[in-house]
Parts: sequence; C-alpha cells; structure tokens
Amino acid sequence: MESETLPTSLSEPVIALAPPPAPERFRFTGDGGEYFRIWIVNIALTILTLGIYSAWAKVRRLQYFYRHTEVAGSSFDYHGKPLAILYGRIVALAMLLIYQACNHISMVTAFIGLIVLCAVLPWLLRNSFRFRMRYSSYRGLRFSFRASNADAYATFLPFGLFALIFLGLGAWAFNGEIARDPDAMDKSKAIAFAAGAGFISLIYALLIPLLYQRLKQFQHGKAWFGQTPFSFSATPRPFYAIYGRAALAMVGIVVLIFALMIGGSMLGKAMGQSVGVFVLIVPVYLLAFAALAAYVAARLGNLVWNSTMLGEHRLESTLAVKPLMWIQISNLLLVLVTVGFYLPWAMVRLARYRAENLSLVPAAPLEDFLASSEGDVGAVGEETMDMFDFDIGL
Amino acid sequence: MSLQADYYDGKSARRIPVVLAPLADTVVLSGEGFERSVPLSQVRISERLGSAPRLISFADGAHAEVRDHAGFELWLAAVGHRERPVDLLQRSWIAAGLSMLLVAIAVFVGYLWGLPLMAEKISAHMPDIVVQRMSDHVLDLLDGHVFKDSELPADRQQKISEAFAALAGEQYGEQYVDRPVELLFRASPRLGANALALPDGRIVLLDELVNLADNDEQILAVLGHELGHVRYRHNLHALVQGAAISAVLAWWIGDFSSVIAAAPAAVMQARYSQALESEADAFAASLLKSHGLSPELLAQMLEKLQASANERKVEHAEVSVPAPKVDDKDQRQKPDDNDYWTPYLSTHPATQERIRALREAG
Repeated sequence: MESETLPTSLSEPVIALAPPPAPERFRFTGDGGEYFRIWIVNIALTILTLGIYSAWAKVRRLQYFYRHTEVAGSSFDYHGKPLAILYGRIVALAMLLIYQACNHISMVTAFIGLIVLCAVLPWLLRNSFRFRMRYSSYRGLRFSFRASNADAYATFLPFGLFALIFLGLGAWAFNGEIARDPDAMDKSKAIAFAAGAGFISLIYALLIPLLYQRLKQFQHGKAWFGQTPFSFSATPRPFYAIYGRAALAMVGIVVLIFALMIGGSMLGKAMGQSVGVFVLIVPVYLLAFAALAAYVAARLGNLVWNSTMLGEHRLESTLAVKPLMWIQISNLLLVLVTVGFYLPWAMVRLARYRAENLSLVPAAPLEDFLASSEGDVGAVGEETMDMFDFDIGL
Repeated sequence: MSLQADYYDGKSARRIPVVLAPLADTVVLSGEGFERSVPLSQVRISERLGSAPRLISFADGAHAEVRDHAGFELWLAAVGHRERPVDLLQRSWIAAGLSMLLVAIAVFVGYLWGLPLMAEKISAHMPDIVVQRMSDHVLDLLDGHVFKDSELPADRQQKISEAFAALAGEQYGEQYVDRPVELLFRASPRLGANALALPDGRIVLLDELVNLADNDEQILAVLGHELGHVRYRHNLHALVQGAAISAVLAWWIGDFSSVIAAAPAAVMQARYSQALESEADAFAASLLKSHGLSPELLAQMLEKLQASANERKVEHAEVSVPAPKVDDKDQRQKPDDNDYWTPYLSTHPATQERIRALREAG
C-alpha cells in the first residue's frame, strides 16, 4: 500500500492517492464484576426507596454502558435526567393501567382503548427516540432525532389501521359481547371469524419484516450527530430474506419435533413410560429456538448497521451466528442458575461482543471530519424538561 | 505531577489534548495554544463508574475526559473534590454483599408477609362491581365450557339449599357481603366431584359431589370449606398475588427474558394456594362445630374425593381442565398429583396432612 505512484495527470486530485483511512473499531471496556457492584447497590437503593430510585439506577446503567463504549479513542456519554425518566415511567404506568381497565370493562371500551393506543403509539415512539438521541453524546456533541410527528404517523399508522381491522372483525364476530367461548358463537360467524383471523394473521406475519425495516429506517434515517445526518439505505427485501429463512427453519423444527414426539410415544408405549419423550423434546426445542433467535439477531444486526451511514462514513457490523448463540444460551442458563444475579455479567458480555463487531469505516480521515463537526446549536443547553420530553423505554 | 486529558469544547468534535494542573479549588487546563481556568465549584465531576473515563463538565457544554484513574485520584485530592457516598457503595464488594443480603431479605419478607398482606388489603377494597363482573365472567366461561345443567330433582336441590342457608346464614351475611348467599347447582362429568366458590360469594355445587357423599352433612362440610374461601376473599387474593408476583419477576429479569419470568410465578403462586386451602379448612371446622357438626365430616369427604380422583386419574390418564386457571383454582377433583409433581407444587397441601389437621380440630 506504499503510495509511490505519481499523479498521472495534474487534474487528478492528490487526495485520491492517499491510502483509505483504516476502519475504527468500537470497543467495550466494561467488566462484569465491576458492573455487578454498581447494579446490585442500585437495586438495593431502589428497594429501599420503594422503586423511586429506579430512574437514577437507569441513568447510571446507561452511563455505564455508554461511557465504556468507545471508538476512535473517545467514549460516548448519556445525559438523561432521572426526573424525566421517573416522569416518563409514571406516565407509562398510568397509561398501562387505563388500558388494562378499558380491557376489563367491556368489549367496546377495549376497542376504544386500542384505537387510542394505536393513535398515540407513533407519537410515543418518536418522543422516545428523540429523548434517547438528544441525551446521547460523543466527543461533546449531542446526537439528535429530527423526525416530525407527521413522519412518525406516516410511517406507522398504516400498520395500526391494520391491527384495527383485525380487531373490528373480531368484535363483529363476537357480536360485541365478551365471550371467548366458540361454542356460544353463531356457527356461520365462527367460520367467517376463523377464516378471517387466519387470513389476517398470515398477512400480519408477512408484514413484520416490513414493519421492522420501516422502524429502523425511521430510527436510523432521522438521526443526526451534531450537524451531520445519518442515513439508512436498506430496502425491505433483505429483511424478508432473513425472516423467511428463519420461518422455514421454524417449520423444519416443528416437523422434527413432531417426528420426535411420534417416535417417542411409540417408544414410550413399548416401554410403558411417556415422560422420556419430554426429556428429549424440551432441550431440542429450546436449543433450536435459541439458535434461530441468534441467527435472526446476528443477521438483522449486520443488515441494519451495514446499511447505516454517518455522513459519508460507513458503519460495518460483523456479528456471527455461532458466537452470538453461545453467548445468548450460556447467558440464559447462568441467569437461571443464579436466580438473576448473573445478569450484569450477561449484559456486559453481550455489549462487548456487539461493540467489538462494529466499526466505523471513514471515507476520509476521521479526525478531519470530527474536527469540523459542529454541534447543533439549538439542542445544546436545552436542558429544560418540556412536558412531553420523556423516555418510556421502548 | 500533571494529568493528561482530552478536552472537547462542546461546539465541535475536535479533540484537544490538555494537561490538568493540581491547583486547590481550581480546574486549570492547558494545551497547545489553549488555556482554561475555572473554579472547582463551577464544574461537574462525573461519578466513578468502574473503569469508564471520568468527565469534568463545564457549564458551557465543554468537557474533559480523563482515562488515567490513578492520576485522577491524586488530582481530585489536590483540587479538593470529595466523592459522593454512593461512589463508595458502588465500588465496595462489602456493600455489594450487603445489597445482595438486602435483596434476599426483601424478597423473603415480601413473599412471606408483604404480598399476602397487600393482597388482603387490595381484595378487601375491591369495588363490588368489579368483583361482580369477574364472577359473572368466570361463571359464563365455566357454563360454556365445562358445566352442564344439574340433574338433581328440584326437591333435593331445595333441601340442600335450605341446609346450606342455615349453615351460612348468621355467620355470613354480616361479616362479608350484603348480598344473599346463593348456591348454584351444576353438573360436570369433566370435572368430577367438586364444588367451587366465585369471588362474589356464589358457590357452585356439582352433582357428582352430591352423589359421592354418603349424607348431606358431608356435603355441608365441603360447602363450609367453600364459605371459608368466600369469607376470606381467597379468589381475589390469589388474583392480586399472582399479578404482583408476575410484576416483580418481570422487573427483576423480565427485560432479559419474559419466558423465564413466567415459569417461577406459577411455582410461587402454588405455595399461597396451599395456605389458602388450610385457612378455608380451619374456617369450615369452626363453622361445623358451631352448628353441632364434626370437622370429621370434611375429613371423610376429603378421603372420598381423593379416592375418586385417583380412580378418575386411572380412567383417563390426561385429565385436563381448559377453563381459566385464575379463578377456578379450587379444583377439588384434582388428585394430589403427588406422582406427577412434588407436593410443593401441588395446589392443595398433601391431603393426608389436611385430613389430620381436621381430625385434630375435631
């Protein structure tokens, strides 16, 4: 890569001959034991304050993970205010209670509750993203999320309408009464309902990859670092490829489990025991499911990050299925065995693996870019907590 | 002594390497062509979070990142900054140990006393309309799925209802609900011999149990047990406790895996159910005695129920009740399940134990 070549013509810019800047790897420097002490002390304080301290604990948790994540020699930081988070949690809890109450009173109120939820969800999502970005920083510059409410509704409302059609059909089939008993239903309506529900569920399942692509396009495509916008270029197609492969594998697993069950029950009959089958099926099922979850997480993670750019600089994600699967399964088992106390180590392990497989690939020397990156004047110093400025932790 | 740091002015992402001077009460930064000096009281020094860089934040949005922890300690001592108490706690393994102890004690105390107490208070103040709705809902569901109309002759029903009213009457009306006690008759080949209490005080008696009993006193004994459930609002308890356990578990490991959070909830709920059964037994025993009847009657009935349940288990190996688990937890027909599950998991305490307790009470 020694650049001994000379410019062949004077018109060619000299900068093109400079070697491309090396990718900057992300690093996570946290440590499980270290984080455990912070985590457990904050849980104890949360218990002593009957839950109020949990907002402070959340800020600390995010600060721990942000400040231990570094790239190009500097760490990220989180500036969220515990009071704003506490307020957000109270709002979220109140909404949840109201929604639950609506569900219990009658089918009509349940339906109204759902409509209201569908109506506010895009707004909530946008505010959450905005809060999270606005209070994140790198090298003293804040990130920001510049999507309008109109953007949020244009992106998500079609999906919400779809959910409403599904529920409307259900309400019609149930004659507007609370009855989950199929025997009590009109036979023709029951058939129409079953067919309609099956059809709509299928379409809904087919929409999930699209919904996820739209979500990430919204989240990444509207984010800014200082005065530099992020962009997101992935189309829905690769999302469908990933989910499609996972769905096919799922079908394969179900067939395999059926085969195991039939074989097992035949064997069980011969031996007069039926418990043996379960001993086989449960781990096979769990393992297969964990493998699939790791596959989807790794592939989606790579797809999303590899399609994200900061200005002209690329991001590169190299998550692999096997190591991720190993981390996820061993984390799960260790958390179970330790009744939850392994959680800090589990979180640190996952964060480390994810960070170590992400790098920033600069198109031009990074320090030049960073030195010229300017902050968003409007956002800096805007520390006041406005009424709808909260993080509901979506 | 000088301390290396990276300075960022908050307006651009340019890194400016600086040196921090150890001057009392003042933060002095100097780098190439750069100098800044601010009183210590006007900066914010981030708390220590493990090995994460420490931050000195200025009011104008600028900050300095320090990675040399040992050097920073010395510098902090020199400028005279004092860490907050929580910093000490978050570093100390002793504090971590004590916190674990506190969490364990809180879980233990909350589970044994806090939760039942809370459930009792909440269920006592549950509005009647909610209780009513819930009961209607459960009954509708059971009527649709598992109940059939009773085939007992009207005069037989009448006789049992009268005896029940005499048993329940005086004890009941004042102490609990203002609505009249109601006994409903149903049949259910699927459930077998059983009786169950709804949250609002209605009690459902199944034909199979009537047929199983040797005499009406034995039926009354079982109804006395159900009255105990009504008297103490056990159905509501179970509901509230179940919800609370799920919520706590969801908070503890929920954001890690909701599947793991659901499994222990069922096991933890089972222990409460046992306590509730024993409480209802005790209530029945004293009610029976106050009416000149012996608790022995309930003990006999339990024996018969267990025997009949074991028979049923042999008949159809997989008795399963698809009805909602929440409210009809009182499934007397269920065998002790000792050969399936450990006694700890079973809803009813080992029946032998309950029978012994009743005989002692008599």
